[in-house]
Amino acid sequence: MKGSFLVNGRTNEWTFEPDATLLDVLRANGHPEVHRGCDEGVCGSCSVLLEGKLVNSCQVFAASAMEKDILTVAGIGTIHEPHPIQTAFVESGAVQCGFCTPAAILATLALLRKNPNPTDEEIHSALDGNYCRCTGYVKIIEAVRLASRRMSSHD
Amino acid sequence: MSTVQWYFPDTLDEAISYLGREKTVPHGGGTSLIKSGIASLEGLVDLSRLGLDSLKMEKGILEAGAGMTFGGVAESLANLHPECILGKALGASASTPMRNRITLGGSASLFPLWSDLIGPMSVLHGVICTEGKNGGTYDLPSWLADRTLQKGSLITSLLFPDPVDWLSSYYRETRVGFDYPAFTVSILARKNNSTIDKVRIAVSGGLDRVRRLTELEERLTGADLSVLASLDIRKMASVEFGRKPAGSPEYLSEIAAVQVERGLKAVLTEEGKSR
Amino acid sequence: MTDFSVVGKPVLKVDSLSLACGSARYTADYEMRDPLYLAFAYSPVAHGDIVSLDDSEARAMEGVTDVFHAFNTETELFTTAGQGYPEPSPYDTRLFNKRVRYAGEIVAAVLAGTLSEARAAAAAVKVEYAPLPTLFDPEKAMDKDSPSLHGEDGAYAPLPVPFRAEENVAGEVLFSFGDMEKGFADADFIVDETYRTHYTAHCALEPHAASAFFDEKGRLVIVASTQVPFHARRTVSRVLGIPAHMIRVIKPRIGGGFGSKQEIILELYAALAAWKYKRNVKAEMSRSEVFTAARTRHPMRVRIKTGVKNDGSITALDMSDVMNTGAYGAHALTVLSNAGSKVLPMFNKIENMNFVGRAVYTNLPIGGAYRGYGATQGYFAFNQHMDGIARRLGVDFLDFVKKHHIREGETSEVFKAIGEGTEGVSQIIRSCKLSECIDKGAEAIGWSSLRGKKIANGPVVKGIGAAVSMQGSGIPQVDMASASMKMNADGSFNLYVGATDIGTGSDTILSQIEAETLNVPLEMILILSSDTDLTPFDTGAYASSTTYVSGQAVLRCAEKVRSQILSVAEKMTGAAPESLVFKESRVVNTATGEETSFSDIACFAMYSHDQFQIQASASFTGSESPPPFMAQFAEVDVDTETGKVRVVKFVSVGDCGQPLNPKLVEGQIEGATMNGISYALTEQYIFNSKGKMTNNSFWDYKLFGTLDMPEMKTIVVDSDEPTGPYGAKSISEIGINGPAPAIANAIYDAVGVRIYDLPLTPEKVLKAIRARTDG
Repeated sequence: MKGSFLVNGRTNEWTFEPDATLLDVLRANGHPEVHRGCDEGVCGSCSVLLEGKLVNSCQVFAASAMEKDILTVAGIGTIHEPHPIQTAFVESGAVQCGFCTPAAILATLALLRKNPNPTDEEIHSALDGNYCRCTGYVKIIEAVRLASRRMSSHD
Repeated sequence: MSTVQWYFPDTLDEAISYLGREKTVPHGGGTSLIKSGIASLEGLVDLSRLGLDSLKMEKGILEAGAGMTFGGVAESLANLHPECILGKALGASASTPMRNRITLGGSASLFPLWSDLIGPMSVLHGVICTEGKNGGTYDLPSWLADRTLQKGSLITSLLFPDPVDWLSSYYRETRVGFDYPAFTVSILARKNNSTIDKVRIAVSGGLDRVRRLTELEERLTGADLSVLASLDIRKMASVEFGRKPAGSPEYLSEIAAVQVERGLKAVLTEEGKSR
Repeated sequence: MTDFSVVGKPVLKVDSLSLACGSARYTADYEMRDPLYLAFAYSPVAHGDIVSLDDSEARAMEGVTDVFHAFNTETELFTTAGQGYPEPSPYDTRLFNKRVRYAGEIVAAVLAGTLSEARAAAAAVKVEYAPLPTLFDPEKAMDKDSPSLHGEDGAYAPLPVPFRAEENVAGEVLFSFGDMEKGFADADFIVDETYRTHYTAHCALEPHAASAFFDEKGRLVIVASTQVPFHARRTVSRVLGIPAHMIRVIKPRIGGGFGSKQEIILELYAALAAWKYKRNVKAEMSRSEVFTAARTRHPMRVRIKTGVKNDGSITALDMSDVMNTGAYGAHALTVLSNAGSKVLPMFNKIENMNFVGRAVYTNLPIGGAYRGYGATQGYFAFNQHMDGIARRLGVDFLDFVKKHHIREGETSEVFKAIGEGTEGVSQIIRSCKLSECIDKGAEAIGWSSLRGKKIANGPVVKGIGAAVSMQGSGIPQVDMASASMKMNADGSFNLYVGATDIGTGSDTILSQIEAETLNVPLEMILILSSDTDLTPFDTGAYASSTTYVSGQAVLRCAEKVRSQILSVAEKMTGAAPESLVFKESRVVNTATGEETSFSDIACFAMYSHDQFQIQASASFTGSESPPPFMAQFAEVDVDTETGKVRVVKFVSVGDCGQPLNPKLVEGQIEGATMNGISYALTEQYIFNSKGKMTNNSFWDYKLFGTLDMPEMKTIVVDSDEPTGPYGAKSISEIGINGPAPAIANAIYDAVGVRIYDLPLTPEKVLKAIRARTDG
């Protein structure tokens, strides 16, 4: 089938199979920053924001995401103009292999938009669907705290 | 090559007409369809344009649209009625990104073994409202008893006639925080000084899918709180289990009873609450 | 401690911004024109001969190009283990075996136009098996009436190491010193215990992937999620008969390895298909395939028998290990070796010691390299065993360890006795701050106020436990690394290393070493790693070798470049060499104060006089393997009514020599620790009675997430390893060794029960509590 997808502020017309997931379609159309880690809705590496909400793109049929606002990590900042959450992850040492990082950054963005000054418990809860095997999460949690401090001081 | 046909109806009538077609099912968030696969289906009816995603409380009755996600319900209730067992249960289910896709309607159509909805439905006496061929309202036992009710019908909302002002406890047995539960324990109670006015206890995940502990409820209802010390709650809370990755049937049965006892004490006594 | 400018500083990981912004690329992200896709068919039976294989239906399906299997694709015997050549692992497998040896073994590979076509066709491959008797219990593998898995297929060990296929022995390690009989006779008491560890998976978040395509000259380029690009090229060439000079292996960013990608699997199938059809080919495992078609941690039975005198001295220690290598012997001998060689030197004062280790075949998934590499299994037993002995003696476990552990200036007979497929290499410990680690950790966990107190809150009882461990820094006289570098006209340097950054941060560490040596800021080092065409050789990312071995290669190379810079500066300025010093991208003449920038020096060399480019290369092989040390502490709450164990707090204190990048060091420790906690409590393979894994998904193989984290504290103790680059030793693996025994010891501290086998599930703990109260 054919459909229009609004990804990172740009509208795209894409052709896809009716049983394709949003992850399949994003990866097939120039968004490899969305990672396939399990394809079963657990590891969270494929997380994107769909209408502002964190979802596992492997658990979303692409057809159901047509015409909806989709945000990947490439849409929030670039290597030349990174978002404060991206720099917070880098500076906190929260990036090891980096496979989970784009998704964890989006989970952080979803959290901080709703709750700019989260408690540790709220941070742990907001990232409960984002596995990381490298960091033991310690520095990821630190990165979220740092991003929260920086973003709220900018407001 | 999948040939499944997607429909995006704008009205309930339109949706129901599609659902009357062969091998055509509703699509809420898609999580269970993706898990089970759609290779054998011919049509998917997306419900997102039907406006089934509101939650309202009128005259003490909570109505939650079938298109609401677990995350949406949990968030709304956390603001409106933080003690409501439904919000506690759905807010603890799966993970944040999964809760943003799992819908009430999808969950109620399947009530999978690991459901976090079934326990609260049972103790809150929740009702499933459907439109279409078998349109009507169904309580949980009759809904579970007859799977054919779903054919040609669409779940539009869940009704909870008496959802708030309960003392409540929800426990989910998981191996790690983000896990589907091996069982859940849902407890509601109301008390009047030291008398137990009402109590409802449900254990899900056992051989019965969800089981109300009616014998225990009867013994407790109207009794003085001191009855907690004299009853063998664990024996009365015994539920049978099959083998699960989380443990053997005997083990699960034993610790489910422990959690029933703990939940009751937490709800009814100060001492239980502090733990 | 020396004053460094780049080393020892928490400089930002050089690839992290690209990873955080999504511009970095992993194997599966490479776009290829019109690729074909591979999918696999797997054996449902654990042991059997393929009687017939009918691929006609699959071949007739839409989009199918070919179906590869044992009846049309024959190869020599080889090992999938990515190790030095010849490998210490037996050659016991082929690309497709006619006899399958575990449920989940690859029996056919389908090549098709799309992934879904390939998968559909793979499901249509019809295989008829003649079942053979199965062997699931490693402890029965050597019994006379057990089936022999590899006795009839010509399997052999390419190195002169013990290998007895007819007995299912894939590897054997034996050594002994002193007089065991006398040792045990001198003991006041003997403790003889058996511990068992379980099957687990690495769960690197990036599933294994390989993409093969052709460059404009027709050479085969393989982009692969690998820890061993050079071994991968060698093995692909050898197995498929493609000349090595026609193969280029590129390692892009890797989404975690932990040992899982020290194995050559998909590279082979992708290369086979691409070479035959001269087409681009993509292969990517699903998560469930990673569980069973890739590698696992070898389960181990560890029996330890120790003779002890009432004064606390140990008179003899006998360790006997049976390691389950599964259906094939990848890393069998070497993981087994490490269960002895990384564990037994810890208590180096024991005069009488015996080690018998056997790696045996079973009809279960294949073991492989996994962070900790045998030490994890050995230390689970060792630390619990010693905790028990200390308790029996009535002494504090930490005091007992401090009395016995190896120290600076000391050695152990074990170093000499056990190598990895060779004899060991004797070495003297030049840096060891384990006692300091123990003291700092004890303070951080609150040892004196919590140990033995059994503080109860209703049915929940608190306990404290500890564990110590050591690892290595590369395989001495085996691991080899090379680096080369060149100086550019602006005073920046290209650094080329074979060392393989799989997320560990080695690109950063190695850049720091060069930046420190040449007195330039980190951004002036432009690193390129792991491309068999572009970079020099390195054995790869394993054995905790990169910082120490590859780091020394970079250091030596940088020193050569440094001396070239000096000699050009001498020529330019006419200064005496002794008056020239390096200072922030310049050479300063201390006699005159005259400064010459690196850029001017590079340009002078390139354009002006006796023209040449300042450049060098260097290789390094360690003559020893200095171990890092670690003490780890767990505080747990044990629910005595449900058996649930909650880790409340976990402290890891490590000595890795000079930490080259403290933030990366902490990250390695924290990641390894969390993996170790999850390993101890929830991760496990569950098999049905036919040997098939039943929980091959993240829904039922449970990893720890953010909701499960204990309070984590990581402490790095200052130390200096004189043989390491800027005083550094390794840190990547060691942190996974302590959590399981520390938690088990804490459970004992809380409720007085010892759990001898992993994982420490609630049901097991509850059963043990019951047995103790009932008995």
